[in-house]
Amino acid sequence: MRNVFTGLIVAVVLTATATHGLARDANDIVHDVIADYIRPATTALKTRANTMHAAANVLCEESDTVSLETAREEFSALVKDWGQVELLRLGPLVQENRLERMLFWPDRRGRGLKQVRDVIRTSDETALDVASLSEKSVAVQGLLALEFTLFGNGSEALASKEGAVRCQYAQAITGNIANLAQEIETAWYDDGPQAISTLWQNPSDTNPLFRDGREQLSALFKIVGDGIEIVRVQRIGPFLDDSFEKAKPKSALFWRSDNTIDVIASNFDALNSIVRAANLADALEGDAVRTAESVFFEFENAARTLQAINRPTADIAAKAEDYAKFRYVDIVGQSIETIMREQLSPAFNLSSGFSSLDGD
Amino acid sequence: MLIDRRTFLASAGAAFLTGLNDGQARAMQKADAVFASAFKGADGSYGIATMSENGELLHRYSLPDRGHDTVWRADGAQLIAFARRPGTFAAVIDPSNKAPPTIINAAEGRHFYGHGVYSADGALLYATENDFDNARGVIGIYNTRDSFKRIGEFDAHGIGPHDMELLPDGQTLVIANGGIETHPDFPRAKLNIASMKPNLAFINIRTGKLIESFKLPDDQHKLSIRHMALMESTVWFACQDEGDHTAGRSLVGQFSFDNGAIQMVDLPETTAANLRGYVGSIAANEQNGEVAFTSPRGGIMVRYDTRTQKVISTTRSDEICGVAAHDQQFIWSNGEGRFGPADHAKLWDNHISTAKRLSGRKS
Repeated sequence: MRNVFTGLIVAVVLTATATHGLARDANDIVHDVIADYIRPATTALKTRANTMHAAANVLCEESDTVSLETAREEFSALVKDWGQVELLRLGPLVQENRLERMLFWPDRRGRGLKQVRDVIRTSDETALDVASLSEKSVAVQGLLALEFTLFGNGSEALASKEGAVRCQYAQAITGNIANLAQEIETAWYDDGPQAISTLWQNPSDTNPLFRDGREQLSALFKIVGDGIEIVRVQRIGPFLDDSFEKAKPKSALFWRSDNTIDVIASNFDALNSIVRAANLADALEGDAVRTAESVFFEFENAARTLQAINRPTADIAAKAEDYAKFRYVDIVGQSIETIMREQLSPAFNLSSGFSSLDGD
Repeated sequence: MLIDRRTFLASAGAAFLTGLNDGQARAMQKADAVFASAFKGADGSYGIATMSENGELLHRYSLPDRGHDTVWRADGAQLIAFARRPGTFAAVIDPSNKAPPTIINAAEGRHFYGHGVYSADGALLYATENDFDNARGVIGIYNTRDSFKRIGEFDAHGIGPHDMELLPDGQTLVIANGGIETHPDFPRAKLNIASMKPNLAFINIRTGKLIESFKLPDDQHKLSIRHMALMESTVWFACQDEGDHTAGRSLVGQFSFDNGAIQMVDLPETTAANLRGYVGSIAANEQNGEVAFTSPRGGIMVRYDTRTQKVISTTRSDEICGVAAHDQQFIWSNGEGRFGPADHAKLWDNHISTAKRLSGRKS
């Protein structure tokens, strides 16, 4: 019955009924995604997390405007590197609450932020040490908490000894983030029998995650399809709301540090890089090759448009043309999602996923 | 104030057994059945279909958006379809004709979770709903005899209520509180995974008072309890795993009125792993003592003998999800068009509901 639908959607030439027999099989695709994209991206995140931690150490030592500025710049670089990794929702990120510990978002009711403020207001000593901080609520130990300490109300105190406790808290957060980034990198480089990289590249009946090539590729398509949906629905949608008049820039992720656009751009870039590393076109023939390549055109559209939006993001409430550009990015994202889910996914004989979304 | 736990187990459990021993449940399953399921059509439209046991389409009804579960009034003369979460409509269907459904809209500040039940006399409809601004699950109450006017609500005594069943005593609702907080501002984003606390809550259907609630051990707090099936003195339930799927944890559990204990079912390692962290539907068959549960992600349906506590068989089919007891078997559907023995140009949604054969004509 799948073909009833795929036939209606796109005239894709199915060159095989399963993933084997193609010029490039699922193992090749997954191997290249891990080796050429995921592993380097996790290394970059770990390296950046360490320099962020070092910058926080210097800030607490020097307590001046120069070191505060450096720490803020490191933060902006860090969240961009995080944007390259955060959509890999399998393996280490979905284990031991690492995703939530790195980024507690959405924080719709401001619960996380309230806890962060309380930590600073009460000089909560359990939040000033990496080990004890990592045992606290996920909301107070990650990037959103760090952003508030470096950019939120009262952050200017970090440039003097008045901000000593706040700085200690930032130090502890950056230490915690560095540990998490290290764990994420280690897990992806692990080649042990139960490691995610091994499991993803070695499907079998006894593999707890991947039975065959279709499941291997489904996981890849899920990263890209869900990733686009997360960016559109959870990151862009909430601050665009229904219309320009209703735009809510403060509902955007990382608006305080004005990294909203850069992190969204990093997310699109990450997904683009994953699809490039997968080199799906080489696994297809005929019209399907053009479909596989058309996705890059859309990724370029998104990147170019995001680049053209004026900063700060907070101004989208005042500039209709910037709001319209965000709307366009959302539409482009929708198009990428459609290509991946409704056109390329059937070309690889993957199931529709109609009933597979959790929560139902 | 909660009633004494022992009293609850004795009274609700006894009513449970009484309800099942009167033969009605078995007779229901032996009769010619008519099924209902939500679907997405080949043209992208959404609807509800009533189906015969041979997988023939009886009627189809249009919905404004994607539906989820359906629930039949006991006499089979009315059918309610709930929008898939976070949808804000329910559709009232007269299955004896082709009249378009009457749409009920969710109250301000609420959305449906996709499931509900009728009271035993059919006068009231109860729906699992989200009071999203207060991160609180509620049970909306509707008067079926007054244009489905919403006449009140109960606390669900948990976050993220999903499936709900009426116990055979007619007085007790059991609610699968999945524990996951969501808000329509961030559709389908899970806001509290690290701290989620699912439970099975039993409440009085007249007062809404909590009778008792049961939770899984702390190390299983990421098993979101979502769907249920009743059989003999047991509530069977199915979960989705919000934790690490590599562990291949069992996703099916039972609450027994015999001992008042909640526990996960011990499944073979490969079977548990093949559920891929998600069971989409569960059904109990009184006639043969089996429970069947499906995983569309794993593409499997598992039949489990509750008497021997063994897996009987595993059926493979892409996107298999809907399942309902029928005679000594189970009828199932998938997200690629299969319903029972027949194929249709439709993507079937996650659930199949069952009623007695009606006199309606085929479409």
